[in-house]
This record gives sequence, C-alpha cells and structure tokens, in this order.
Amino acid sequence: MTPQPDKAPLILIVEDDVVTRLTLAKVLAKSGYRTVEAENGQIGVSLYMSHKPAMILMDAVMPTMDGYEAIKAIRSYEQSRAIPILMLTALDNIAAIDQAFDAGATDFITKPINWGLLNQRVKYALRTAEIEEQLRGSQAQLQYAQKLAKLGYWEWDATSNEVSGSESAFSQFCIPKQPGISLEQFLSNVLPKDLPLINQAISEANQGQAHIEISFRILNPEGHLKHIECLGEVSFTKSGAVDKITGSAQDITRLHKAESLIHYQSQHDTLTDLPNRKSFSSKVKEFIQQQPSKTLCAVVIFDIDRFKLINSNLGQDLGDNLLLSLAQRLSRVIREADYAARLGSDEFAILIQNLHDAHELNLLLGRLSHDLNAPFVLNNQELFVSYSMGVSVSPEDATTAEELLTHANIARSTAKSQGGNQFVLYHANMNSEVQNLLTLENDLRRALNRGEIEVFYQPQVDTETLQPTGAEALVRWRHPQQGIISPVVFIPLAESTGLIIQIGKYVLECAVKEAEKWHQQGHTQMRIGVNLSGRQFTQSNLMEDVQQIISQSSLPAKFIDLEITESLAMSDAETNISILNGLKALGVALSIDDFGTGYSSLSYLHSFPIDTIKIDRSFILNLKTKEGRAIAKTILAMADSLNLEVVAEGIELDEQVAFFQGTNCDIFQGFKFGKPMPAVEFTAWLNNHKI
Amino acid sequence: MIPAVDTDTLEMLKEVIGDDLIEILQVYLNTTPGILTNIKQGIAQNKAAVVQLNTHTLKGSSANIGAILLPTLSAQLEKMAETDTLAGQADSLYIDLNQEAHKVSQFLTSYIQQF
Repeated sequence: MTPQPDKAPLILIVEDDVVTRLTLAKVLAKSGYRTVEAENGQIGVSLYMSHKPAMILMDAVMPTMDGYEAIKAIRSYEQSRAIPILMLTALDNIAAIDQAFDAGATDFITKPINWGLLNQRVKYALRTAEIEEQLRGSQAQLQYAQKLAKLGYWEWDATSNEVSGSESAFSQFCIPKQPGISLEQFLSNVLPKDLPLINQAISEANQGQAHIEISFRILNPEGHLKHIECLGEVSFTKSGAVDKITGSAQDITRLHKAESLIHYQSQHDTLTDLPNRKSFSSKVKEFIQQQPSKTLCAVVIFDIDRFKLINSNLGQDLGDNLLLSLAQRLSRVIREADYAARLGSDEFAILIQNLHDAHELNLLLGRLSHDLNAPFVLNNQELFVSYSMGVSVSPEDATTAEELLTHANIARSTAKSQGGNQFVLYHANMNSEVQNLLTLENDLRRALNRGEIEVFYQPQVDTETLQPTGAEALVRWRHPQQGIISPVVFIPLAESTGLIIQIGKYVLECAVKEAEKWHQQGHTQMRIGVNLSGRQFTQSNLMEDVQQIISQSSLPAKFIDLEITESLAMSDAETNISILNGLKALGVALSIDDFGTGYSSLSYLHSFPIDTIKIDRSFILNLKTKEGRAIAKTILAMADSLNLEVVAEGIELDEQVAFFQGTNCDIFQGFKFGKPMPAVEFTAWLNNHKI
Repeated sequence: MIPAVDTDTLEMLKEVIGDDLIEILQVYLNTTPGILTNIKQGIAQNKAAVVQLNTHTLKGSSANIGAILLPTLSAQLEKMAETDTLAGQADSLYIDLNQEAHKVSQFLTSYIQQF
C-alpha cells in the first residue's frame, strides 16, 4: 500500500555522493516516502530546520560539515522530539559506529547498502519513533490533565504505615514530597476539626468498607483553607485486615467557592467568568482598608483599541470569543496574589497587590503588556490586538478605592486619546523615576521599527602588525529626543522586557550583512564579533536564528564570532555547554567576553567549545601595577595552555601595547585603534588602514 | 575472470526501483570521470585530502551499483591518503583503479543498452 503523497513521511537524505543519494531517494520514493536531499551536513541541518522531516539518513564523511557534527547540531536544536537518525557507515569501521552513537545517531545502516532491506529498516525506525512520540504525548497529556484537574494520586501501605504518591498529591496536602512518610505526617496540615472524618473513614475500612469518599479541609502555611476531596479503594490481606488504600485527591476549593451559585453569579461576569465590576470595587476597597497605608499597590484598567470595529467586522460571536480568550490569558499571566476582573464590554481591570517598589511595578507592567500583545488565534486566523492601559498607584495617586479606580480610568482615557497601544500612569504625584522608565520603555518598543537601533563597529587589530583583523558590533540607540542612549541604560530595560531578543537578532543580522560587504570589498579575513545576551540564550530560538542568518549570507560562518559574557556562560554551565556545542557545530567561532570578571571554573572553561577569550578592560587598567601585570601574565599563560586565542580590550596607551607585544595575545581592541563607529565610518577606516 | 560488476546487486536495484535505475547508472557514468581526474591530480600534487575525499566517494558510489573490485581498490587508495603515504605506490595503484573503473563503466554502458 502506498501512503497518500502529502501524508507520506518525509525523509531527509544527507549524503555527498550523488549516486548513493539519488539511489536512496529513488528507492524510498518507490516505497511511497517523500524525500528531501542535502549534499553536506550544513545544508542538512538547514533543511532539517525548515522541513521538519520524520527521519534522517545521514552519511558520515562529507565535506563542509560531516555527519557527526550535523547530528550534534540537530540534537542540540531539537527539544522534546527525538527524530530518528540512521547513520550510513562502513561495517568494517567500528570506531565510526561508536562515534555515530556518541553524536546521537539512533541506529546505523552499513554501506554498501543492502537495497532490498533498506525499506524494512526505514519502516521499523519510523514505527519505533512514532510509538515513542505517542508515549511521550500521552504521558504529557496525563500530567497536564492531572494538573488541570488539580488531581493527585496517593497510596497508604497500612502494614508499614508509609504514604507515597504524586507531586500534586503532596502539594495538595501542603507536605514536601519525601519517601517513607507516615500517615500522621501526611495528614498533619488537615484542619484538626476535620481529622475525625478521616479517622472515621479508616475505621470503616477496617470493618470491610472497600470504598472511601470524604472531603475535608487543609490549612496551608499561608493560613488559607483548601477543600480536598479524596476517593479511595481499599485492598485487604487474606486475614481481612486493611492492606493498602489507593486513591485520588482533588482540590475542589474553587468548586466549593462556586457552590453558592447565586452569590457567585452576582459577583461574576457570565461570559468570561471573571469577577465583575461590583466585586472588583469591593475587592479594592477591602484591600485598601486592610493594608497599612505604606503598602504599595496599583490598579490597571485597560480596554481593547477599536473593539467596536473588530466586533462589527468579525461579528459578535468572534468578538465574544476574543473577550473570552483575553480573560483566560489574563488569568494565566497575572501573579497569584493579583486580582483580575471584567468591568464591562471590553474593559478589564487588575489589582496588583503587595508591590515592593516602583521597579517591580515596571517589570510587571512590561510583562503584562508583552503577554497581552501576543496575537490571538480565532477561527484559525491570527488576530493582533492592542490596548489602552491606565495605571494608578496607591498610596501615591490615591488613598481610597474610588480615587484609585477613577485615576486609573483617567489614565486609560489619556492612553486612548494618545492613539492607544500604550500604558499611561496617572501622574498627579507620580514617582518620576517610574514615569521616565515607563516612557523610555514605551519608546524602546518602537525603536526597532523606527530604525533607531543602530550597530556601531569597533576595530580590532593584529597585535604585531597592527593591521585590521575584525570588529566588534556594538548596539546604539539613537533616541529622537534624547540623542544616543547608552547601552548601559537601555540593555537592562531590553533584557527585562524581553525586547532584547528582537534587538539581538537585528544586531546579528546587520553585523553579518556588514561583514559580508567588507569581504566583497576584498577584506577577506575580517571577522565580526557579536554579543549574545542571556535572554537570547535561554528563551529564543537562537540556533535557528543563527543558522538562518548563516545560510542567507555568503560570509563563511567561521568569520562570525559570537561573544558571551563569562557570568552568562557559568550561570548554567551544563545547559550552556550544549547550546554552545550546537552553535559551534554550525561553524561559528565563540568567545568569552569580559574574561576574568566572573568566577570561571577552569574545569568548565576547558569543556566549553570556545576559541577566544577577551581579557576585560579592568585588567588592562591595572597593568600600571606589578600585581596587575602578574595577573595579566597568568591569564595569558592559561589561555596559552588551553590553546585559546586572546583579545585584549580597552587598549588606550603605548605602554599597554608594548606589554602585550611578543606575548601570546593575538588581537587588540580599544580607543587607541578606534572608537565604536557607524558602519560608513568604519568602512572608511578599514580602507585607510588596510594595505 | 571476476566480472567487474555483480549482476545480482543490479537486479535487486532494478526490482526495487524499476526503470529509474537507468537514470542512476547514467549519473554514475557522468560523475565518475571527474572523480578519477580529481584523484589523479591529487596524487600528482600530493594533496592527501583531495585524494581521500574522492576515493571515499568512489568507494561508496561504485559499491552501491554493485562494482566488485573497484570499492576495494578505492579503499586501499583512501587508506594511503589517510595515512599520508601517497608517495610511493599510489601511482601504480591508481593505474589499477583507473583500469577497473573503465571496466565498470563499460559493463554498465552495455547493461543500459540491454535494459
């Protein structure tokens, strides 16, 4: 039976020999598979990312990037799914087979290929992968379902008096999960008043009752009551005593709360199930009255820009769906202590409680606006929505609940009248720091689109010949009113809002394009250094971005030097090594920036796939002292023994140049040779300095 | 005399792929002369990496279409390149390899004609 053409599994063939590649493709096509072909590892990785094949056949020895490197790159890139990769290798080469498994191959096929058996091997590998995938999927679903239902399972062994169970069961009983815990310990947070209910159930079990169904309350360490419902099945020993009780526990607190339905509905909005205006007002009132006057809290009121237009264009039903999705998203993104409500039509509000300072509010608002701005998918189409948000802070702006709400509403109207898609703080007595930061942050959100983010280039020269060897790309923000804003100010802002991911990608793209131009103009050994931030490392699809940029550029990857700070590299060394290995496999060079300022462990440094260390400028400044020179020499000796290239940053003086010449320091960077400059100026500098 | 190509392999391929086998054999016939030239030049200029890559390719492609002796000869030459011992016997080994490659090509050409 031949599978449907568009449903047929797609197989990626990575093989440099055209005859073998073509034969593989033909044989697989005859069996009804779809195929896509790559002639080396690098193209293979690229096609893997763009085509998401069901399986890969990978040759071992290939030019440009061999099969082992390609597998490593793919394994570093993929996260949950493990694609089957069959390595094509000669049978007589045991070392190659070991190497293939080390790199992450699933299995191997020996060359010369037995064409009659190939289909069986492929079919088997695909089926195994599918079963694994289903298993992974159902496990994840089960966990998710249990989490959603706040459901936990537990088991009590009566003979040993030991309780075991799932994480969620322990968390429902507010007990840290630990082995060998007794029933008494497990129940220690049950409200003492309710304990007799449980004892009653156990004694009934001892009398032969095989089912248990009880509900009771747990007093959690914060002093809140939770309602738990337990169902259990009892198993007995031959003599009829209780052997084990196995069962589930479910947090029914919310259900409990909703039990008084009339009361609930009077407090809640029927469409979104969020609290309504009435309950929001009384919540704010209650909160303000109960809190000491110094406690910082804020009310955010927002509505959807042009909601009427959305409603009339897309229909009332879709409009309602949007409100519902928004309400659900809102409940997800706010902190547990905060309180969200729907005030009316498309108007929502949040009470943000227990703020420590203005900075925390700023972070929260930034995250809120980021989360809410993500598109909604309704009827299979993406809908982008913007909001007008007003914020009022107590005790600064208001001391009563009414004032707080009114002021937030005034701020919201202001946001609306200024064109929407922004938040505005009510500013009668406002903390100016918050306002400045917020303004700057709002500006930063638009800076990329308005072309205000620029990339500057600082020259790097060879230590001995003082000829240009490359440049470091440095980001600058040319603010329309405030002029050039220092990265020291806006990078932390970009980090905290997540904008750093877009900015980082933009800088990388610009820098690679610029370096490509230098190469086209004949400066064919020029490298480009680009900094990576922590957020890019942990959140973005870094490998995919880098791969995409490499494949769209004629600049060979080895001239791209990605710089990460020492503290970032060390922050989660094990994970980062795997990302770095993945990047390395794409062919780029890697540097440790600001070397010496973090707390590098030498053993880690050794396992990092880095090419270069950049000695921090603070060490250069200290060269004046004997101790400073000794430290610099130590760093040089260490780099030498690890066979790492060395860049000295912050070079300004002749003495500093003289100190490093004749050592294993390879490259200089600093004002002595050139400040960071715009692309045009840098090109001119390059043409002036290169022989 | 040992035949240059194992007909069983070809027949198996034909069974799995059908008439498209001709296309594959044509690609083999078209690419092999270039590979042989690369090997020859690589030996002459003592460029081990070039010899290694091209003998490796020839080893794989010829084995796939059922050549019997050619993969072995390619492997021998590949090994020499790998251990950087091309100076010496590489020239005479190349002559054998080249001759065998022509036999394989002749065989395949007539096989295609009888297809």
